[in-house]
Amino acid sequence: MHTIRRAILETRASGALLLLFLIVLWEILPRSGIVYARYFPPFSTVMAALFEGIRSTEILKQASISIYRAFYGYCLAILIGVTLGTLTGTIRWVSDLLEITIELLRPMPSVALVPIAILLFGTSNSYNISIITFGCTWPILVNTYEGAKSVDTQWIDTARIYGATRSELLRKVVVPAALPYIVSGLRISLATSIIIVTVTEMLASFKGLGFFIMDTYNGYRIPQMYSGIITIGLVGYALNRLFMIAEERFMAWHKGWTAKSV
Amino acid sequence: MREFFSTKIKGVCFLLCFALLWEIVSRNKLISPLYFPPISKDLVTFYQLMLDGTLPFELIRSLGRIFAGFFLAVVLMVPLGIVMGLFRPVCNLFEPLTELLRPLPPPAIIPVVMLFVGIGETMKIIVIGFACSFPILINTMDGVRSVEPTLVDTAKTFGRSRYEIIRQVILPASLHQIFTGWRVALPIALIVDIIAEMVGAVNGIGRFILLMQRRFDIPEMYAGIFLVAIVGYALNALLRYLNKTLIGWHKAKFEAIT
Repeated sequence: MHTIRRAILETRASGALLLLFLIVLWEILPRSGIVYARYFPPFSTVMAALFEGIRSTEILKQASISIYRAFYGYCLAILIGVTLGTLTGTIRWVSDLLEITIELLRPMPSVALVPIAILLFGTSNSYNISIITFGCTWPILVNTYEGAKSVDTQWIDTARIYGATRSELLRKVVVPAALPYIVSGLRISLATSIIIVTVTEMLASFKGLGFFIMDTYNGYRIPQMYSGIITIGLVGYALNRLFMIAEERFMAWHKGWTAKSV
Repeated sequence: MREFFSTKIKGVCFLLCFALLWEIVSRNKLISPLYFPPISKDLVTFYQLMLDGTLPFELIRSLGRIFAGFFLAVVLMVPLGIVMGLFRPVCNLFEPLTELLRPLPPPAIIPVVMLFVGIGETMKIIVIGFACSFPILINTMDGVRSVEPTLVDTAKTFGRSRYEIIRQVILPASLHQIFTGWRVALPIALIVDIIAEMVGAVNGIGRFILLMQRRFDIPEMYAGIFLVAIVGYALNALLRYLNKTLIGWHKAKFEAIT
């Protein structure tokens, strides 16, 4: 008995049990009428709606649209963020020129731009993508800037002595050395992209998971609404996991590389 | 001082050029002035709306929600984070749940909360509190865990009780990390508040912006966006200032010890 108690308390089994308990509660409370079942349908009903959505490919379609938009905006943000971050981090006059503008725009909540984007792009994909790009650029830009600033000056001097041109210096020394910083910016932005795609779709779109949630809410298809929310959570979780796996695989060299040279 | 001016002045010039370009493009109708009214007009509208109290009224409503949600998250999550950081079993109990909820975009729970409590103040405060919870919880937990064991052991050697150790050693030593969580959470609170107001509200700056766009009062819309930008910038500056004055001593003190 004692060992069982220990096994439960000292591993994550207790956490799994808590989850299981909450799911059981989710099933029992609406069924017994303690919670209004129309607003909070039992777990099994929500799961049935989720599987029905997957079977009829409705949810899969909406999810793929959301992922496409998030990914498109994310890639644009990487392009802009890494480029501007490297330039501002290495070239003095560029950072002098852009610093104030960046400092003014960066704390601006990206959703405040939603009305402008609607005016410009209507409810096309460009509307979602432009907001996602705006929101995801800042973490990447700032982290790249910090990374470029933190590059060991010895490395830069060494590369200069060996006659590296400016573009070689950037591509072969600064960006690789700043990569851990860039990667942490990329991780933050990935989560941001999922949040913004959901928001923009909730506010003004006729496709995508965010739209699906609002549409089922307005249409009072509550189990479907919950299934949409669960799907978004799963998408966010899966993308984060993929990112971590990729990071472990592709960034392992960096530890060895920096450890040797210091 | 001269150094300061010579670097800042280029940045200011860049901003002014940008404003000028906006003005010219709009006045010459290169982009429809209906969507992009000249910036001078937007600024005058901003000034007028600030004076007649429209924008300050919306702003106060929004700020009230932001701080209510933020404090809700602080009050609930800082103690939980401390307990989770100190006691492994508690951490084991709650960690899977938080890991499951964390990747959920906070705005996605807006419809659920609306079902239960409508579109009133409670909805916004709950959603903002939910969104702020995770950075606060995780940073508090990490902060408590990363306290130098030497500090705790020293306090133990000197016969301090568990409660005293928590209050006199662990809390002060993890303060900067706890504060980091707040620093991450507050801008999130602003974003989520604006989203919640855009989805469903009767007042607040987020609703104001969206309403003005729908009514095609475009200069008013820009005035609202300017205000949001200013609020975002001010929050950021406030946090940086607090960090320097409140937490500045921390670094020096604990770096000297370890």
